Amino acid sequence: MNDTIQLERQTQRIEGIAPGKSGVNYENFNYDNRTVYWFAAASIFWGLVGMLVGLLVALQIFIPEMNLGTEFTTFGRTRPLHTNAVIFAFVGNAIFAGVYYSMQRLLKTRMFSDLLSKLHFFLWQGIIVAAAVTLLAGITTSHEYAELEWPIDIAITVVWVIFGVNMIGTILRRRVHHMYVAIWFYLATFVTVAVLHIVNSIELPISFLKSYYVYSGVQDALVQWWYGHNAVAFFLTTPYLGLMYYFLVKAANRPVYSYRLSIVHFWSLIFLYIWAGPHHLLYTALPDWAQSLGTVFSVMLIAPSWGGMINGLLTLRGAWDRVRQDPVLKFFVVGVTCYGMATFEGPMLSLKNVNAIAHYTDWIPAHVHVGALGWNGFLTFGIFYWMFPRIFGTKLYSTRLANAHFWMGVLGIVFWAVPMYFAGFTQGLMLKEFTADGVLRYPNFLQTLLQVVPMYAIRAIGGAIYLSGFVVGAYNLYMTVKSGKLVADEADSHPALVPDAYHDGKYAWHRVLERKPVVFGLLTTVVILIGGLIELTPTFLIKSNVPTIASVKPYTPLELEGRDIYIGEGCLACHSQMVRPFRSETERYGEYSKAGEYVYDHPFLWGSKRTGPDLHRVGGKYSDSWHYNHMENPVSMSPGSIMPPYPWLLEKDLDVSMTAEKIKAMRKLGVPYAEGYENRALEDLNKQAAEIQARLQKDGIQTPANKEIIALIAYLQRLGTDVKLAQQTQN
Amino acid sequence: MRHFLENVTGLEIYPLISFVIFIVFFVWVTLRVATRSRREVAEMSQIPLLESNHESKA
Ligand code: HEC
Repeated sequence: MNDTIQLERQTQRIEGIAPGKSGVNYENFNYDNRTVYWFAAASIFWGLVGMLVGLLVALQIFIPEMNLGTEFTTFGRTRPLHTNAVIFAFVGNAIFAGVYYSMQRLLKTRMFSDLLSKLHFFLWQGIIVAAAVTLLAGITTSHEYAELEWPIDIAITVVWVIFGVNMIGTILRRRVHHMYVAIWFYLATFVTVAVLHIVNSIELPISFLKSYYVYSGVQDALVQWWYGHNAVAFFLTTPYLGLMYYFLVKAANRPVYSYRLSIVHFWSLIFLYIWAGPHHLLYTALPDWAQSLGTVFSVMLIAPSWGGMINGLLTLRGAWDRVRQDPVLKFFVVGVTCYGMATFEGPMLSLKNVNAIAHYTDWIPAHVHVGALGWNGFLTFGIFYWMFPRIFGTKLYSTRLANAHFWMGVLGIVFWAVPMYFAGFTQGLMLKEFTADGVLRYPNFLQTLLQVVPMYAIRAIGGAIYLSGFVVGAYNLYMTVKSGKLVADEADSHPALVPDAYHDGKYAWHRVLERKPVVFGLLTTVVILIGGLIELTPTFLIKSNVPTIASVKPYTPLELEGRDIYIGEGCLACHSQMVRPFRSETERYGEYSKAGEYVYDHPFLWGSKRTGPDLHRVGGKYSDSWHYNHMENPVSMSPGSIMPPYPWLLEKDLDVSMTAEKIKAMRKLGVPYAEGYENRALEDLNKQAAEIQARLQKDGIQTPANKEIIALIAYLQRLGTDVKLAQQTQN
Repeated sequence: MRHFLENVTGLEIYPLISFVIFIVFFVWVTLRVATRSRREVAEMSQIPLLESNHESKA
């Protein structure tokens, strides 16, 4: 057959031109590069801010003075600021930049609406600012990576709808028949993040900036980690795989290694990911069947994850000589490799015996940062180095600087992760070590912590190196921008899409789907809902999943207020409230935690990292005055402690203006406060506060009863005592 | 108490259901993908590399 004719037919088929028609009309249109540039610039800006906060957090964790002595700059608040900034501001804006750039070109059309693109950009930045302000002010729901309060949640929903309409509108207007695999990843991201965000944001507002989750205890934990895990999957993974399938292919200038693999890996990935959430809750009070489910699906996840990694790396086969010269490809290779490492490690961490050691330790942040710094960070840098010269019609300012950035990044990751693996492993084992006589070798938690403090210092250095590399990169990109001029509207032309042009009788199943983005979106929704529903429903429907414990009573009004201080100060950034059923934990902390103890916990406060000891059984362990002194200055009670001091709690008056509302809200959520109790709540609150005041006075501490510290002490002394007391009365 | 235990054993069906659904789905996708023509697949993988007249070259 004549080669030219064959090639022509092939092009026609791909581009959706009716075969045999000659003299096709090319339509002219422009790509919107301005929005792409804005998002990219915002990503760089927030990335620098977010990582600077990260560096601060890394220092605060072992130098308490770095908390700067104010509530607004203390670890419990800066840590969520850091995580939110890097996930939603750095990575979020990078996703939008990459999606807007690649989508227009893959579909040969401009984005659906310039207005929506603009709204998307500005509202997203507004949300980021609102997030930063509220988080530092201690306004938080406490759910990790979903800390923002309900008005911001609503704003996020609005932006997400805008993004979705803009994206689906663009797909419907495309000039290319087939939806390339990258687009499926973008669509799956859109659909799933929407579902996750809504389910995990169901809160009962009690004021403009305060709400309680409608779920409690075990259910709340399951929903949160179903969300948390899938935020990793559908915010940090699927969009980036989509970006990989476009930008890596472009940079390598060769098609993806196996397109078939990309399809299988896409569907398996989104199917399996949605089930894996419970692996964050192994050995907790979560029912066993849900834990097993999480483990099994997590282990299976390794296959589709590696499918993606292998597909990415093998795309570069035969281009390895270029990898050595091109910083863009270097960033991609290491980024994809880090993805492979993190997704191998993830399933390992889901194995119960590995998890028993690793959970709550620094192993987990190490795992996360291989993914965040390596996969998300390096892919982002690679994309920007490739994209900036193109949208500015110029060349990269300096390849040498880009190479320097690359090596600083690699070094930064190594210095970040290696000491943290070491720390996690060391401390995890120390905490479990018994002497020959069968007692804990390190009964004092602080002993094990001080052992790994030097590792924290090295980690901070690693972070500083990585951030310095980023600064070099930002400079390089800035100089690139200066040397060119933004091609705000990049002209292109392409024949219009002729419906049903593909007439050789081979309407393969998937092609039909791809032509109907809405159908595709629906199927994706079904796939993820199957997982979500089967996983979540039993916990909600079957009462026996949470056996009730008769001795568990609702919090008193003062304890409830203390609990909100605990939430607002972000104590759960360092403290868990979940004693796992290991002898090493029951010896250290006391009776292991039961699901039934948390039934009134809106929200649950199990935590995910133990920089300090577990607090679930701390009630009654110390005197009130111990807590008073410890909160004012931890080292006074625990020499060498790295817990931040909270002296303002001793100064600030407890705000009781919302107490009645809180009681009412809790009752609405099923907490059995008697009808009308809200009217007597303050009376009880004052009475309990006066009792604590009197006890403190006995120990020589003079304080008014209306201080925040009093409420916090009430809460801490209550923790875990329902079960303790019940046992004492039984004996 | 017995009621509670009954429910707990009943729950083991959930992981099983999930597993079966996944296997069926996976086999379906794989078969569909495997039966597509080589040419068609090659064409689709070329989409990002199709350069229109004006787009800047890599
Ligand atoms: C930066 C991490 C960090 C943060 C944030 C933090 N703590 Fe701690 N906490 C520790 C460490 C480390 C210890 C162990 C050393 C000590 O006793 O001070 C500890 C110990 C404690 C103890 C004693 C536990 C025991 O069994 O001995 C209590 C109670 C406590 N913290 C309460 C709080 C409260 C309440 C907050 C929030 C206002 C908070 N912590 C915030 C790190 C932290």
